Amino acid sequence: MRCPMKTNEEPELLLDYCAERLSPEAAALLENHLESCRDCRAFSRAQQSTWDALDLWEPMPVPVDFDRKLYAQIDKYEESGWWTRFWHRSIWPTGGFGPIIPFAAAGVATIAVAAILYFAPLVPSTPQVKIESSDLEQIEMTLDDIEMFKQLAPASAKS
Amino acid sequence: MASFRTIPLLAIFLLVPGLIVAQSKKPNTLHPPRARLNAVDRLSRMTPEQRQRALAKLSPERRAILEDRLERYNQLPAAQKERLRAQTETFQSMPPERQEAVRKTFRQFNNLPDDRRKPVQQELRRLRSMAEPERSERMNSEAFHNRYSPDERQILENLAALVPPE
Repeated sequence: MRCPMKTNEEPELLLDYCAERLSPEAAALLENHLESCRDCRAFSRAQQSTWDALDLWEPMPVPVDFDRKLYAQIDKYEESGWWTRFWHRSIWPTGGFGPIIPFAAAGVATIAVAAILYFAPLVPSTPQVKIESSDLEQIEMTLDDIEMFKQLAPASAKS
Repeated sequence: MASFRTIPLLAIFLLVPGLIVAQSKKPNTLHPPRARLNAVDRLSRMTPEQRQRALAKLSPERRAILEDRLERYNQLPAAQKERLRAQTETFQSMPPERQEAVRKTFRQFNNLPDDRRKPVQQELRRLRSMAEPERSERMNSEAFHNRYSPDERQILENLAALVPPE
């Protein structure tokens, strides 16, 4: 028999052997090969230990009233008000549009923040200590202009 | 659960462009003249500590000049202050190119030698108190040409023509 590990022919042969899916004749043939091939023997042992571990695993038992509770929840949803159903469909719609309410909320928040940032400089406020650099430049320019007109004012306008 | 995990991502995705648009408008915003004058008043009403914090971004030299200007503005009589405010508001409502031309000419005026600045200033005040025909007559007179250099005449001509009347 040609080695399935070295020749890479029928690599599933070892897996089938470990899963006990081979015919008795094929299994006997492979066992003869395993006695003389260290690589195949090591692979087989590792695979066997995996199967052994899986054999020890037992799924958690399903509670006896699982179905009863599931159908009770479905009935409760069906009998709930239109608002509850709308809320659920808006957040987890079955269509391909994704969650609507988070999108809408994010959109509203974006507009609100942009509006606050845009209109903030125009809103009169109580003594504002923090002044932006661009505002300072405009204050400097205005004071320069005032100073200019003060110097240019006719003598009669100085009092 | 996947929906809830996507909310922060969506919020960031939608907020960031909004913030960028809003922020990008701010540095270029030139406030209306009245708002700029109100900002000057607001600054002048601040306590020394508040003003120090507000002007912290300026270099010491710029801060000293600004505080000096502010102090002189605060000491003006109310009537003169009101007149200068009105004049500045009118001036800052003019086209930016015209404003800049006036400021440039005023800088030239300030660069005149000390002994020439005062007579030029007095002449300008006299010219600005005149009506247009009288002003033209004065500027075309021989006395005017004899008293002022070509540069000084240019400064007087520009400032008398460009600066809005009282």
